[in-house]
Amino acid sequence: MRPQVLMIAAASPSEAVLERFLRRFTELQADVWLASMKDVERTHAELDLAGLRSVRSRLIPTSPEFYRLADRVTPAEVAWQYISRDPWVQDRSDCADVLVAADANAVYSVWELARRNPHPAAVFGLEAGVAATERIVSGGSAAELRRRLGNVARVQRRRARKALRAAAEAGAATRVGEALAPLAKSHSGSVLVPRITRLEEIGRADRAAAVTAGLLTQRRTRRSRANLLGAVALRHLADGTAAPQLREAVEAELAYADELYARGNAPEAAASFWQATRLAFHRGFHLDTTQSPLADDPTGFTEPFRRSAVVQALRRSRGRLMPAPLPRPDAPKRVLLATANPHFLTDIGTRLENSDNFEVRSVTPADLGSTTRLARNPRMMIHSLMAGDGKAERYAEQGLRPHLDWADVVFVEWCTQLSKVFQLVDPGATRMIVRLHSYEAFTAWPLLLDTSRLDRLVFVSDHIRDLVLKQRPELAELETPVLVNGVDLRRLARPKSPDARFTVAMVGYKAVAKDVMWALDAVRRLRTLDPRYKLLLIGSDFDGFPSPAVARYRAEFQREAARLESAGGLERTGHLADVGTALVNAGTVLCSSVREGSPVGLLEATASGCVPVVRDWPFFAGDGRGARAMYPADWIVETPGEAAERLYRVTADPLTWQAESQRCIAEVLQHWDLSVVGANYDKLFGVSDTRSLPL
Amino acid sequence: MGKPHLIYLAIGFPPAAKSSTYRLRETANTFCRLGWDVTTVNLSEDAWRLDSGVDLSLLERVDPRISRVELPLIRKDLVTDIRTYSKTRAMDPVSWSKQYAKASMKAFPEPHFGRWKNTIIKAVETIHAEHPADLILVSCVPYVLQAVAHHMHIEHRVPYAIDYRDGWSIDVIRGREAFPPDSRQGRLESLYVAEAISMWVVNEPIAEHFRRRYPQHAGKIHVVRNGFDRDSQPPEPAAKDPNRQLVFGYLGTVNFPDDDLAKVLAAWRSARSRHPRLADARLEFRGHFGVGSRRGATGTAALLLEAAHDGVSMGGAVAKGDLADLYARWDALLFILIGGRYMTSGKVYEYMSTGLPIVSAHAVVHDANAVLTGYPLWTGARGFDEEALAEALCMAADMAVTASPEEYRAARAHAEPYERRSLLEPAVGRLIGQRS
Repeated sequence: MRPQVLMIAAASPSEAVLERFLRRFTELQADVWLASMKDVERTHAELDLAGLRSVRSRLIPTSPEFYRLADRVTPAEVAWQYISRDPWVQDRSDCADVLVAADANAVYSVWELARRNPHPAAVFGLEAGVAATERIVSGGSAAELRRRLGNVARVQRRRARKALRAAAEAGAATRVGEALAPLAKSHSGSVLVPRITRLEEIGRADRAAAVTAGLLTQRRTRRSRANLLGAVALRHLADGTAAPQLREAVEAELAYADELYARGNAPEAAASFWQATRLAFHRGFHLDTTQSPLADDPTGFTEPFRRSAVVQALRRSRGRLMPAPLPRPDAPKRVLLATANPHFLTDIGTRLENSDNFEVRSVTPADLGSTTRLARNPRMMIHSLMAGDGKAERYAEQGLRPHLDWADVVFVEWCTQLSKVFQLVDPGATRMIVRLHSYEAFTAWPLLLDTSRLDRLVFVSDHIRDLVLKQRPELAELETPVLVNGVDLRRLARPKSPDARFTVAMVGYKAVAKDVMWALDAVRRLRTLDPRYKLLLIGSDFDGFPSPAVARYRAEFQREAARLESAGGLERTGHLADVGTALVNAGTVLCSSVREGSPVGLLEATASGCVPVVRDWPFFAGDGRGARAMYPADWIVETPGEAAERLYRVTADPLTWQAESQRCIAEVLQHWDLSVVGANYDKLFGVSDTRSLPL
Repeated sequence: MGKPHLIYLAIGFPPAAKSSTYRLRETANTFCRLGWDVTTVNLSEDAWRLDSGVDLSLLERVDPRISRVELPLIRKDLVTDIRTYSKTRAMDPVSWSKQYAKASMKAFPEPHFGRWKNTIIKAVETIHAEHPADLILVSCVPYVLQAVAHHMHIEHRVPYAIDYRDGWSIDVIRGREAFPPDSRQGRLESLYVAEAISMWVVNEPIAEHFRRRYPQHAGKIHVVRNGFDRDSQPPEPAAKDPNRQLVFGYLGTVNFPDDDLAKVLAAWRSARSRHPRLADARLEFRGHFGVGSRRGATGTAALLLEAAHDGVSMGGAVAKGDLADLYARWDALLFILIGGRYMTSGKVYEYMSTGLPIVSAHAVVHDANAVLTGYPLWTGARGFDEEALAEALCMAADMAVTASPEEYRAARAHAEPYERRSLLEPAVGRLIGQRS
């Protein structure tokens, strides 16, 4: 019998190191299985392992208690929370001869597995794993037989327990509707919740709501109500489906957080608040789908946050000793650009650096000394703010004060945790600006901004500003200018290839919000008119181990893409450092997104000479907002059929296409090139009251 | 009258495969040769297997008259059997190790080892009771051994000497004072130095540090350099095919920072791309990579393995008995070293004894320069500048192919004054004289 080695890793083990040890395990005829909290199924697939398991990606726990616990314990304990629930790990642990912790945060999981199975060796470190396997290989057959018999008995016991559990669930499944209510006291959520979500999935939302309401009458504490509703929502998340009672679940969780906060239990209140934000803003409900309850009703969906005592506490006005002074038009301004992702700041930063009017410093969270830990660990920040221990403020002060003393203006790119970190320090005479792009509107951070320490909240489009202000109306008291992304579009101007007009480009498609399936549909229709047309997908493909919702979308896309590809109707470039090289071969560009802020890829492609066709982004369509408000009316389409029709029309003959192309180039350069919008950023950083900006 | 008896507190004595092991072995052997009974005090083989490893071939050249006592002590922080862990340790092994190190300092202010003080005292008391000692020699680290020697001096009037090697109050890696004189450690060091009959250190800068710190004891302070062992020295390089594939080598404990190694590997890559003789050259690293749970899985190990496409390979430790063969296979040596003006290393002497070209990758100001200066096949100290290192590697490649037999002989002759036995015999003789 080959020795069975189960390796547990909290981090991602070095492939090179692991490969070297695997050779030694192979010499010992051992089978090595690797389970990690990281996505090893993607990164380590090439290694000679018996099997791999990306534990965290595989499991979406459906218990709010799980997350509340995970939010307040150590990384090692979090790993165990996942490992202990993974049947793949359990099965291999039952049969293991050696359990190996590959890193420090995996030791606790191995320790717990070893407590449950007395037979395998349990060691810390790869070399120790090899040594333990050597001892087993050189051990006597009697010892091995004893071990095997023990393992078999364990597996049988576990299977019996599993079967009993399944039988209990099956029994409960026969009694849906009101009949479930009496079970509420005696059955755990793991039995009831699947039945409720099933009713919702088969279109019996009214029935599901009635059952839930019945069960809630049995649950008198805020905690138990939050547990039930949260579990239903999480179950939807795990299934990759919309959660009809999501708002109620968020409300219940925030009520529980408020209760804990009122009782002075800051750690658990912080964990409950995180759980509420996880439910409310999980990308599986808003970003990994083509629909969003928040986009549908921003005011109603976020209403529980506006009422929450915890949220009030987290965004309380800290004030400042002095307001930011009016800028002096003649003096150079010292501008601090702070961001964890400078992607959309590059050209603006260069423009500022080349100007005599500005001195510029750029910092990332890694440059902020003791503040770095807050930006990297927002849970720690929230916990400290709720505990009122002053720790977060101290860390922020230590890391940010030198920058604030230097800068006239701080520009925080992205309204995420870094923007909140900056608010923990009195900015004094420094003007504070935060720029919010798009996805942050689907996070809790705008709801947590302290308006007393913010001078300007910049948006990249009107419709995103509207979306955020509906969630938090008092932000309108701030200056909230809209400045589109500043990008040097002229560098995209290159001669097109001869048959470019038959190629439809799409720049970026790996996010579900880009809705590449809509683009495939449009191009399929276009090809019925002329099979010479094809779609050129520029950018990375879907990667990693996505949520169930994304996995489903990706699978459907790959199937359809393969069909179109085999017919010659699709090309994919993969990630390109310079999209301009690919755009040379494209004559049109299609923006099929359900949601956008100020899409740079669309403008770059248009500046390169691609004629744009833009879907009226559904998240913002309907009242003249969104794409219709941003772009000329003839660019906008509603359906794939309309898109195909416009694509065909603007490329029907070379002269038409070239004329359209030149007209669109002139349009984007006139309105969106850095040479135009850059002046607005100059005003933002230095000179004027932004209320006067012609935006 | 019987032979005089030395109790030699030598944690790291063979079969431990530790960087100081050769010095400990030769010191004990020298005492034996000079007519002493020698009892060495060390840890068990099991303890060393968790630490830097074991090389049984080292025992072959231990004088058989030496009594070896192995203590049942172990560094618990290096134990890898998770079934022996408490829940606290399992939940956070890193914090547990820090706490363990800190708690070890109660009995004596030294992380990890301080807790061993009473056990070692009891063991030495027993040895002394059975066979009274005439001299105790302690080799540090661990520094807790000083407390044992001092105890024996106070209780039994046994004189003692300290082989500090690198020195307690000087941080040879960072090149600064390790603790002030009025600290707990400082007061103890002052006490131990005052009572010791002699102190050895491995180079002049460290000796100077102690002379400045204890001017009243300057006369006790002696430089006893490390050296090379004749049995590790390969035969003189024979004529080789000038078109052969060159092999560069690094041998020793891999304890340098990942950043330094990354620079060396970048320089190696650059040198291979620009010098035809290096185009297919290989670079072999042999030695220990980490201890305890990190053995073989350190950041440096990952860097080396990821550089395989540049002809870089990583092997395990080499038995002392196989060193000469290994050096005979290599064409040039890479000398990567931490520290600066207070660091010399033991490796430099062994490297020089081979007569092979040596490429230094260490601080420009470094005590290894003091012995390498004049070595005809040395490329000089250039710090960790990638370009300068790449040039040095190219230069060494040329040396490996073009050096004449006379140059190889001259290189080996440069190392000759550093043969370990010739360095230790007078030092031991002087110490014996100081005892009387």
